[in-house]
Amino acid sequence: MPHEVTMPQLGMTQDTGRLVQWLKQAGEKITRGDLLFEVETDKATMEIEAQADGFLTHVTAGEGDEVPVGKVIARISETADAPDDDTPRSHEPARAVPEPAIPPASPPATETTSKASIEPPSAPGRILASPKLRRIAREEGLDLARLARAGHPQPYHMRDLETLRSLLPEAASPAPSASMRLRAACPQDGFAEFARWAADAQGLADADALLAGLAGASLGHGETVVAVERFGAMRAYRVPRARRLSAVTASDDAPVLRVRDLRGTAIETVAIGAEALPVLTITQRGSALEIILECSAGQMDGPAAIALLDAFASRMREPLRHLF
Amino acid sequence: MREITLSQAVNEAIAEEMRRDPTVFLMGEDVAEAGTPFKVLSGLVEEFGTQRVIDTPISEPGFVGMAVGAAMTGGRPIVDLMFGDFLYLVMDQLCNQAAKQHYMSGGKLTVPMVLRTNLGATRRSAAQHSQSLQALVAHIPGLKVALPSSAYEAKGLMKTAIRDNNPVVIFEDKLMYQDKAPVPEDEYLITFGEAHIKRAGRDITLIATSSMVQVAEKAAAILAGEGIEAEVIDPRTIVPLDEASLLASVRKTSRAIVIDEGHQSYGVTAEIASRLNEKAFYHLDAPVLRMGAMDVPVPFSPALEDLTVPTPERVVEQARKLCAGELIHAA
Repeated sequence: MPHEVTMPQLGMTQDTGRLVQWLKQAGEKITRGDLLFEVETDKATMEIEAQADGFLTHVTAGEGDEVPVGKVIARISETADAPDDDTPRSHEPARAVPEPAIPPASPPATETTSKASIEPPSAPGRILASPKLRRIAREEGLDLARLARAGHPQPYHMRDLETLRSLLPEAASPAPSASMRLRAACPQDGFAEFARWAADAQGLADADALLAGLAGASLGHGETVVAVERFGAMRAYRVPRARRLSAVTASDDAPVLRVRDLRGTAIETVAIGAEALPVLTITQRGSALEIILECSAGQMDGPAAIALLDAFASRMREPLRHLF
Repeated sequence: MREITLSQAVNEAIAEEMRRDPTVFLMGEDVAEAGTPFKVLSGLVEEFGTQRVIDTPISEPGFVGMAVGAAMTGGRPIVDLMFGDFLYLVMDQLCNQAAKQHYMSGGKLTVPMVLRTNLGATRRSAAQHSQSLQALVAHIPGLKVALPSSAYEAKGLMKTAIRDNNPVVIFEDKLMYQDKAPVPEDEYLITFGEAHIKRAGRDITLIATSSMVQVAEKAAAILAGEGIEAEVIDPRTIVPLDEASLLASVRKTSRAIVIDEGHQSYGVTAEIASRLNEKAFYHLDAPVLRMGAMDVPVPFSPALEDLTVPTPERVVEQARKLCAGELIHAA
């Protein structure tokens, strides 16, 4: 099992190190603890010891090279002519590899195409980052692994956020279309009884208008338009700021939210993914209602989605809450 | 504004409350003739007489027990425990009796008692007279715990403590009795459970109690020279604790060090740090650090004793690391 020799990180803010010189030649026998090479950082020049026994092979960094921290620059193999996919086999193959003054030719297997796609410094696995940076990165849809792949030293903190943002592809990528699916459950009789009462006592016979009214109010931002979809047919309703269910009226305007009522169908649950609008799907499971909210991160962020679904499920459970 | 010492501030607070309310009285070892070893209570026996300023025998469990009884039956005792270290002697009177009477009597009894004592090392008083045992009493439901950080707090918190209908333990720092601070001549009280922002900052929050507030303020001054703006907050009472203010500060700065002179393990710093972790986790950019006294008996040797308590230099060192994003205790 060959040991990989990487450019060490010698300071907290160090991104690259300059390889001053190799203190062992390729093919030479190495004992753990031998001085292997010299690195110059902005602060000091240091001699780096070998961390394993074996033979120095696969040297890919030449003297004078600026090498990103964590990049593999050689291996310590069990034999002087350890095989590699591409290295020409000769009696003393290694000598030929490291010497040229021009940047050494890397074997294609590890060839890098640009600075932006440098090999990961060993498998990053779990990334060390502060809770705050993780939260912000998640909110902005940024992947901390980009920092690791770019060879930035861990752990990551808020100070690394600008770097992380700048690692995004230049082309303004559309908002991540990752879809969210949130599920809530409540008993079905709350809304059913309320709808009966509303029809009998208040003359509000259109249960879809009631659904639209409860959903529109759950959005919590004033006047809005909500569509109710049933058996494929769609009707839109205007929900006024005052939220009075008797004031919910049919509308031709574009809705901002769709309620898909699948009660009375055999469907128990859905996972359709984000559509053009956030969709609240109601299904019936025994005596309970399941309410699924699906939307894309671009339509609504996590906290807003949670607030919407929670408010709507609470109203469906206890429609009288709507009055308060 | 006039400046007076912490010692004078405590004296004024007690005298004012004794004038205001005839049921307030003082008892403890050497409180009358001697005015305590730190001369904090000098002059009170002359004004109020030996009926209300009572020297007791050297028997802490006895006179603290008497104070609990007096408080349950209409008096408002201020009982003086000469050293905080003697708390061990009065654990039953304080924690089993005073703290629990109101609860166990179904609210029929109250124990409006103040236990006045002290904390703090570096006075070369050795291991049995140098402890900071506020965590010990803060752990017990039913006791309030106040930690004044200057003469101003000492007066305002003492007056509030005397008027509180619950047992209150108030710890003064032995080294601060001669420290002066501006104290208004007009009457004022300091509400329990209201933290005070001593210095505003954006980069790191230093939460400090009692004398550690001075340590934090000195550290903040040094850090300011390096471009690190530290916010210094004094909770003033650890029970009740103004959690909201501490959380608001940490949400703003995203880093915190909690400094208290009690032993670090299982201490005040641990409790506060834990709450910050639980309730501000997603706002933290670095682990919350605790800085308490070293987990050793306080040494008598001055050279060693000074090593056991947090200092401005050590706070600065830790704050720098947190702000630089250095790896701290990471696996």
